[in-house]
Amino acid sequence: MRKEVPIVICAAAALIYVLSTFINPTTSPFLGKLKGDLDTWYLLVYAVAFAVGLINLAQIHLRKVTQQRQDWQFSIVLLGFMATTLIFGIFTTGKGPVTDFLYQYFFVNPRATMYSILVFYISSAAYRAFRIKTFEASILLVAAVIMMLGQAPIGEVIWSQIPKMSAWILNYPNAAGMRGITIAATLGGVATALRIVLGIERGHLGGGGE
Amino acid sequence: MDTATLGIWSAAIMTLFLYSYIFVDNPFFKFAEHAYIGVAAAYGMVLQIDNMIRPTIKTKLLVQGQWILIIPIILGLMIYTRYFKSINYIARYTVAFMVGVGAGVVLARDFRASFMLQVADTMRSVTGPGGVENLIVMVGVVTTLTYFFFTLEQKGFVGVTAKIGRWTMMIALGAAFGNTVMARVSLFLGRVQFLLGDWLGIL
Amino acid sequence: MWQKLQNVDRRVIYVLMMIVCVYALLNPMGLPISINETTRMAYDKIQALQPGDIVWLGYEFSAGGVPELVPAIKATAKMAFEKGARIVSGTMWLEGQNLGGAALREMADLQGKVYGVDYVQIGYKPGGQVFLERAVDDLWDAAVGIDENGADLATLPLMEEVKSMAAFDLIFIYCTGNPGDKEYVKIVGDRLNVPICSSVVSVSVPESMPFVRSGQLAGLLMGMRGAAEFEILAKIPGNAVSGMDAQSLSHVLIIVFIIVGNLAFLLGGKKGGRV
Repeated sequence: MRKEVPIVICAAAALIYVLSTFINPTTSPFLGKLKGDLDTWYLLVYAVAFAVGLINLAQIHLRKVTQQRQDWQFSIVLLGFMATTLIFGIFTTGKGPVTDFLYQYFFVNPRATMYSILVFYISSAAYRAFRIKTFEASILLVAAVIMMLGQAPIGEVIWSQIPKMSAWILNYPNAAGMRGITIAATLGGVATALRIVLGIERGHLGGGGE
Repeated sequence: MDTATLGIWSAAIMTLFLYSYIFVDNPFFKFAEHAYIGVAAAYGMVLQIDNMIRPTIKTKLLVQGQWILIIPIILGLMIYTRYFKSINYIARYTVAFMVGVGAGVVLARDFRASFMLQVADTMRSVTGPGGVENLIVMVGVVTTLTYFFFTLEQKGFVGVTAKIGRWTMMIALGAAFGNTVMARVSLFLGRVQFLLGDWLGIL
Repeated sequence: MWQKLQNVDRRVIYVLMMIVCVYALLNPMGLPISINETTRMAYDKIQALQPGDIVWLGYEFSAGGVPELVPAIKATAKMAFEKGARIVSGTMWLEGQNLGGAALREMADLQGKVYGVDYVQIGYKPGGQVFLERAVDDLWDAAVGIDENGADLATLPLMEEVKSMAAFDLIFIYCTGNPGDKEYVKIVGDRLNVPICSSVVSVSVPESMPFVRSGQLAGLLMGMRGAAEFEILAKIPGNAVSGMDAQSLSHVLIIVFIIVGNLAFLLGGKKGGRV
């Protein structure tokens, strides 16, 4: 029962979705309402279950502090900021002055900075790792160079046709390649969803598949 | 010093601490990294409470009397049984529900929008205006898909087709690389605009 | 010499990139920016709006999308308000609420628009793409009946006309990943006859192009370039336009790195490099 009931729940939820796609709500208002209620329930379950990640993170860092592992002092920093945000956020809402301050200046800005560090790694990769060893690599390089010049204003200054070439690459060969990848990925996703719904794939339930 | 100025200075210092990592790993970077992760993790939960849980309880349950919504609340709470060894199997029900809905969305929506309509659009006329480009797209899509047929031995006609598919993907990946460079540069420019503009007032 | 070039410390590369970007921002060259076809398509959709039309703005991005997407939000909002359209916004992303919301508020204040009458921000709602599933049928229920400040939607006159996503005349979304424009296309666009335009970060441009080609996306702004083009069309040149010169120089620098790196590799005795 411990594995069978979740599989039935999973299949039932998915089936309601699939049926509501093919059966018009005017034909079956009950099915339409059922699907709507399912959506509402999902939104609520999602919000209530959200703290799992938070708890896992807190557990890891509390363990680091109690066992005084390497860099345990920074775990105190993490837990301190987490607790402060949570306490002020719950008691004064997410728009309170302290929560808002922490959000703007200790979340948004550092997050943008973390993403932006990648520019240095991509520069280094361009210099040290991007090697034209094969014909395919040359194709990739030529397309990349045309794209980089075409998307920046300097491309048009160098040669007026570069932006047109870059647009042509995006609209035709790139669209073709990406469409092929999208179609293949969609087929894979649909196959996996079917396997999950039919109970063949059970990894999410903490066990192996068949 | 007003809150906004204090905030901008804090953000600027955090930014510089984080950038110091590219030169050498150091305690300033670790402090900034840990502070940011702590706030990030907690803020997400604050928004769940503000934007969904509190209004649901206050309005839908207590005012509108939709007491059936207790069921999804309990279903959501059940996931926390994973922390107790003797009853951790109960968390599977929550996971199964969420995975089931996710699978339902994929089955109901992905197939038409990301497969059928994409395939249909590939079959455009190859004669008349735009015919050459339509042919390029059609050949590109078919050859790319052929490349992914790993159950077929890729030699002879299939091999040539798969090779053309690889070249098509190389062009697509080249375009992706070019755009990735642009994206990363944009991110860095945003930070520089903040440091030079909002913080130092030079820009 | 070529061997030495192969072994250049990566921090030299980092510093060169920093210098080029800072220099270009401090000394703008004013290179001309032409308008891409996909940007023009999105612009035409905005210009086709009639007074009273309602537009949905979806802030489906994180802090990493700010330089490329926030300028596009401001330009879109300005143009939509100038056409007499009204705006409802929301997001499935945690950070979108504040980042996008601040941009819309700024443009609304500049144009003297009234909250609740000319624009409403329902803010972040959890659930990812399932929020969209619910919103297609019942936006009020998906939004739990409140806006981003906790105000009852029934107290906002604009929301009387917006019960579901079907009420919108145009959907304009700003995306950095999943859930993003593909979710809007498959959940909203496929079920409702509402045109969807998207502003995406440059990384997502190649994978969005098939949907532009198939007509499932009615327009596409490509990263910071697209945002700059929209700023020009809206006549509010800002951060995106000023960033394009720096983009130009940094792209040239990357190309120089690739060329020099490969020359050093070929002429200096083939030795691969670690990043």
